[in-house]
Amino acid sequence: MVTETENTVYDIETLVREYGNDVLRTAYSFVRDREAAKDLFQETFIKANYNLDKFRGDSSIKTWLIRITVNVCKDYLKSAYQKNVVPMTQVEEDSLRVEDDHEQIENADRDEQIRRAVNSLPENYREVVLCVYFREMSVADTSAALGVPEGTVKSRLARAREVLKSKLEGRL
Amino acid sequence: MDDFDRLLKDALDSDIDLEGLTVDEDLVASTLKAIDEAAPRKEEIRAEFDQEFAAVAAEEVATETVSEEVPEEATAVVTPMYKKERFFTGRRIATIAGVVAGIAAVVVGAIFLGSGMNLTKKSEDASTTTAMSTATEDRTESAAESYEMKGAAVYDTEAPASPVESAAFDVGAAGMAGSAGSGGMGNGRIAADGAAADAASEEDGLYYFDDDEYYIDQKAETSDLLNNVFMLGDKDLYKPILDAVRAVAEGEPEVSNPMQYSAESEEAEEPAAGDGDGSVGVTANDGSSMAAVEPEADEAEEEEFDINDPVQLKEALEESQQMLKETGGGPSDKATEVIGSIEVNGETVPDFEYSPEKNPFWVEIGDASDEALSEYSPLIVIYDQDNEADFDVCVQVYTDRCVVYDFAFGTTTTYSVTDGQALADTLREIVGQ
Repeated sequence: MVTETENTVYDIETLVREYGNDVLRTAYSFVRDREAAKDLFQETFIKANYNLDKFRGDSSIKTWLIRITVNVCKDYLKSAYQKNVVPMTQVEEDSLRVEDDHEQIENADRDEQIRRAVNSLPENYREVVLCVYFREMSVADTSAALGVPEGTVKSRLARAREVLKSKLEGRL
Repeated sequence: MDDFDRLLKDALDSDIDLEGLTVDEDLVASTLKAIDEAAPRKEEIRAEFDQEFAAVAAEEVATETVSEEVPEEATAVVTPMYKKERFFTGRRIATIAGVVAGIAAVVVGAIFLGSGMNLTKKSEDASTTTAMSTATEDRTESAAESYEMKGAAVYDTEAPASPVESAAFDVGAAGMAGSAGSGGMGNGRIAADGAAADAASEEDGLYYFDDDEYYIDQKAETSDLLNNVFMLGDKDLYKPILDAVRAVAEGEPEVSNPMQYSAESEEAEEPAAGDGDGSVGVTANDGSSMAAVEPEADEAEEEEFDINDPVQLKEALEESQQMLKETGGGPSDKATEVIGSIEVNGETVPDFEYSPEKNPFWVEIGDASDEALSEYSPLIVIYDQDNEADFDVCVQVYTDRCVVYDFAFGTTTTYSVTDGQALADTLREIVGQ
């Protein structure tokens, strides 16, 4: 489980430990389900392990892993199972929290509205927003991770922002 | 990063559900174990990987270039950015056009059922322009409001465009937008009232965007198809659709089975523009007031396509998507070599003359003549100057207005383009410049 790519040796366990959180959170941001995210996490690293020799170093290893994650998530979301089975509603743990700080409550409410607005974007736009704002990836890395031209990333980002602003107008 | 960006980032970062979502030793161990256990499937996994990446690559690459001459309608006030290899067989055209016509039929059928056909004399009321100008001013209204086909029910009496053809796309737009403009009509134009459109939406959710969830899967697939159809900008492609809708508006005899069309055989010739020989038949649920444009060509291999059958619809969509992949549905390498400009009402629309320094985008025009401009309402697909970004937006230009179809977000908005500036401003706004 060790692969050498242009002078860099990658060990899958090291990758799991070093980039695991990025992969797991990316997966979660797509599927919004912890258990599914963990399954997809495993699938991502299984694929990464058996295809490490195909990594050419055109992008960072992290970007490459995120790209695999995105592909795995997209497949999951497109699967017939996912379309036909609605996951059980997760217990809103935060609803049990005691929020005695009014401003904190307002901020939490605002953030929730923003996340909902992001999640309601078309997939092509949502994934760009998640990569850039959530994963803090550059346009170039996002382009590499999603497999779309940089110009498309920029345009989708611009349009997504406009739509989000429109949807959230008066609420922020 | 401005304030909005910061809010956005903070909101995503602060997702409460992410708290505690970290990789623990159990997950690491189980993952490593899963990797070991997957060893026998190594080749299968590698194949899957290649397939996934190939699929992404195929989506991003706009393939084949060009071989055809520019149509000689070259008094063109509109110059096409590039041309695509003609790849439509009669069957292919019928497949795509039929699906789109079917969509129109759903809407038209619903309109007829919901409110009946309501033909009135063309209004000579000069307030039409005012109404459209209002639509432009309302550009900044909420997304839900922008779904309305403002100005769809009005028509400039001076406009040479065929009313029925306009109706075709207005109706189609109503289908995409989920609601249509108010029910006025002019000279055979079909207009949908909101109630009818809503009823239709409930009746067949496939073809409607609603305000709350505008991009559910089925709708996305439908809009993808429409997007591609519009992107092709091939007059031959949508001529049968226009003919079908014209036939509907003129009350030609019905076709028996609602929501079906006849696909002509593979051997049939492509319908030539103006011949009206596309094989699209459109029917209403009640079978009345609807019609078909019968193919004059070979009908030997007729097959029925039930647009209400999700399986058939999916197959048709996949087939059309595959065709686009095979033949090239996007801009060619040569696209940037040609300059496009557009003229409306005798005046060049500002900022449409391509200039990388001044203009952040260029336009592709589906048809290249003023005749087409007036008669077929050519479609524009917007890309950026690097020929990379597809904004998922098409603009349909009439002599007195333009209709912006936003396929990504499922909106349709009508703008006055009497001064040209509105259109330019609209497009600039769309591309975020």
